[in-house]
Amino acid sequence: MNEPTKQQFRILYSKGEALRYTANLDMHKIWERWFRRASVPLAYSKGYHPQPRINQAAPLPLGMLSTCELLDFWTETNDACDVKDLAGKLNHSPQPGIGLHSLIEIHEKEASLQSRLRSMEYLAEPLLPVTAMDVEGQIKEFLSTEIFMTIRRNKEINLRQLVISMKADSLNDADRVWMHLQALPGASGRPDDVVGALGFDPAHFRYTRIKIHLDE
Amino acid sequence: MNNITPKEINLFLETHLLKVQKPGRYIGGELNQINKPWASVDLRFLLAFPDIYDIGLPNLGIMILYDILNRHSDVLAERAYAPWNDMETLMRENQIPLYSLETRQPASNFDVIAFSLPYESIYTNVLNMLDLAGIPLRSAQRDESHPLIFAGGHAAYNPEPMAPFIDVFIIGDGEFIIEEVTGILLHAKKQSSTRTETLLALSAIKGVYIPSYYNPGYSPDGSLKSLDPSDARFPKRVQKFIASHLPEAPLKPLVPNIDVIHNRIAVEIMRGCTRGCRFCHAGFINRPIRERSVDEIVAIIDESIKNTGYEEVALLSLSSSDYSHVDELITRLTEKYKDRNLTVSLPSLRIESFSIDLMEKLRGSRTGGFTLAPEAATDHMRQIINKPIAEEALLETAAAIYERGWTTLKLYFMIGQPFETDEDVVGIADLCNKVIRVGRQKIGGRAKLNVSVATFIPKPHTPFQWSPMNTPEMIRHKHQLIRENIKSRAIHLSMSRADDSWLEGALTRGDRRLADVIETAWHAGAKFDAWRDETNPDLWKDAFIQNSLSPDTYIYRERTFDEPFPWDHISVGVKKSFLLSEYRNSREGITLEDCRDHCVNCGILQQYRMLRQQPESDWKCPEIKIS
Repeated sequence: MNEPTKQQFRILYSKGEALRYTANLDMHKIWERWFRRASVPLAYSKGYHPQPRINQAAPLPLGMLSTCELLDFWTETNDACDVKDLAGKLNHSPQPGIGLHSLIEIHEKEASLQSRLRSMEYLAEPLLPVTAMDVEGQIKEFLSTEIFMTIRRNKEINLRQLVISMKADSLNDADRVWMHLQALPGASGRPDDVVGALGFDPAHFRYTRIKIHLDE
Repeated sequence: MNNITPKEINLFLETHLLKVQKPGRYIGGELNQINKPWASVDLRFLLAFPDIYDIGLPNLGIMILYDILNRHSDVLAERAYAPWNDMETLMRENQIPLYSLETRQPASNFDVIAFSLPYESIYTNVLNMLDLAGIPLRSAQRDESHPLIFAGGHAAYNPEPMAPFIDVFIIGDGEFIIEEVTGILLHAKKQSSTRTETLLALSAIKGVYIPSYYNPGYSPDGSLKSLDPSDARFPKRVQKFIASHLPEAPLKPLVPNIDVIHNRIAVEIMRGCTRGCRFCHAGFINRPIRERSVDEIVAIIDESIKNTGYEEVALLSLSSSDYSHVDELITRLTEKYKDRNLTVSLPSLRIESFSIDLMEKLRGSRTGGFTLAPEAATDHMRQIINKPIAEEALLETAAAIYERGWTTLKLYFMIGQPFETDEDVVGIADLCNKVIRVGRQKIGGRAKLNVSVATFIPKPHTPFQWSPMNTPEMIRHKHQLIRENIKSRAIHLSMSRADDSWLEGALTRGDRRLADVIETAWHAGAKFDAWRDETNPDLWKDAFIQNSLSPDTYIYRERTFDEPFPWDHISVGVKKSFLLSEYRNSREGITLEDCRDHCVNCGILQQYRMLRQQPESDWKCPEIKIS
């Protein structure tokens, strides 16, 4: 018998309403089950409790949406998997809350997605009316300072340092905030913290991650 | 508060859900959720489970009804579960009513709210959910503007304590009754029938009990004297409805987006049990025994995996080892799924080496534990409960389990059963000591034994329905006996709290007057009574006092043989005379054999003889001549 073929694939997907309160560990299960429904021959780790080889780039905070999530997975099978075929199988049994944007094969060995994270872009949309002056003024004031201390997980951080750039972004008369935040190990910005820093109630906004920047 | 729209409910959810634990409980959106436009159907059911999402989502009964009802193009079924305390507080603060997960419609906009009642300790949650829905608690207070409130499930076999709150009880295999109910409700809606006309039409269905048509009478001493229909249109006894065969299984079960208590495909391989353990409620109310074929089970699992992607399958029945083709089933499943990383679980195995053979087939690596339920530890007790297992057989099985690679054995026992002596209780500790000694001999210090001791609660429709329950003092004494006789540190003992069971004991054999107690307790704050840290016994004791009732008369008194039971008007097909002879047999230590081979004349075959003759019938009762 031939040696089984091992392959690595990368998926770009959006995370929608149905899964916005599904935490990272449960997302792993969602993917595992989706791959099983689609008969994708996932590679498993060795040992007593074999685990499927799935690797998510960056946990999305609970309650947030995304249009740009990244996930790697590995297959192991006698006949090589084809990208088109895999995507077809997944789309045949769609997962509520996930929109598949692209599926590509990774041929070169790379560092893990997590270790390549650099920064992320988010949109924050108000769910309740906010006046345009407020948003723009607050953003300007925030960006003009050098230090804005806040507490996250009992740790004091300088939130200002984590905001690479930010601007008001109007759509349908609603004032959205676009922001580009740093995402390095131990130095990652959260968009709800930023909205809080602007003086708004973070619970009154909807957050969508729209881009993940990796190192090249 | 019921004029609120789904859009407003959605805005509330989006702006508040991050303040509660596990917000994923409150939004639905699971794989295989059925979404029908609200206006596209004529009849709308809300299937309500009166405990939190984590417990209710995997409930097979809800899953089956959801599937059956949504197959009708003119009907929709959606779901609601009890919100946990944090969410309930937020909902009440913001005037958000109980809503459905699918379309976020307020519960009061549905035509029917159907509650599942698997156990008694969730009765207060039913009241709480009705209140959250803005619906009056009692049937008598409701009018044309309110949904009909249905209930069914194991606890509904004594419907009386909940009778004033429920419009319609379903007694029996609900999967079949609901079809007839749907037909009548659709017709009633087309005809614009009144609530009274609709209830009257429903009362003609077999297995439907409408408590408002029945009136209890009490003796001067306060005991129940009679419970009779208000007029001749209603049957004196409501016969449970059963089908000749098991219902079709749901092939597209809901797959939650968050972790719940059981994350798996559940397949009912068999309904009913022929063992006749005298304490077992499920064993008596679910007669006769009906099996699914191996082909059907394999096909269900295959299709369900394709539709869910689950990594685990549980084969459900009251006694897996008794399924006629269990060996063939396990062999086929193992062969079919051996390279698929699928776990198959097979609960309720008999105490014999064959069970170990089965478990070995099911798992490649033998980590974790092996569970057995001897229930009793002495021959005396085993004869009383009709679960005769020789001690040698148990010890041999335990030895084989340790020898064949399992390091932990878990044993279930029950204390407080009728006619139990201190010797019987000490026997539990002695038996555990012997088991761990066997384990030590086989695998040395790695051998572990987990022992779980539950308190017996006499249940309606069983031979022990006449029996008094042990008082908390007696239970504490028995716990002490077990504790002081356990000799090994390798035995881990867990016992239910002595005070934990009396409430369930009172509710399960209670009459209609307990409805007042339930309502008083709920007003005082009782809910989640199945949750050890949530229930408050003092509040319930007060509720009994306020209604001038004593729980003791329901719990600790042996009922006389001529006294009517509050559930006598509900027939499960087993004769009361059979139950009584079984109670007497238990006192005399007479056991009955498994009735698969030899009919013990419990009454079920006579009662349902026409059904049994139907071609698709898959009953495993022996063939007998019925005149």
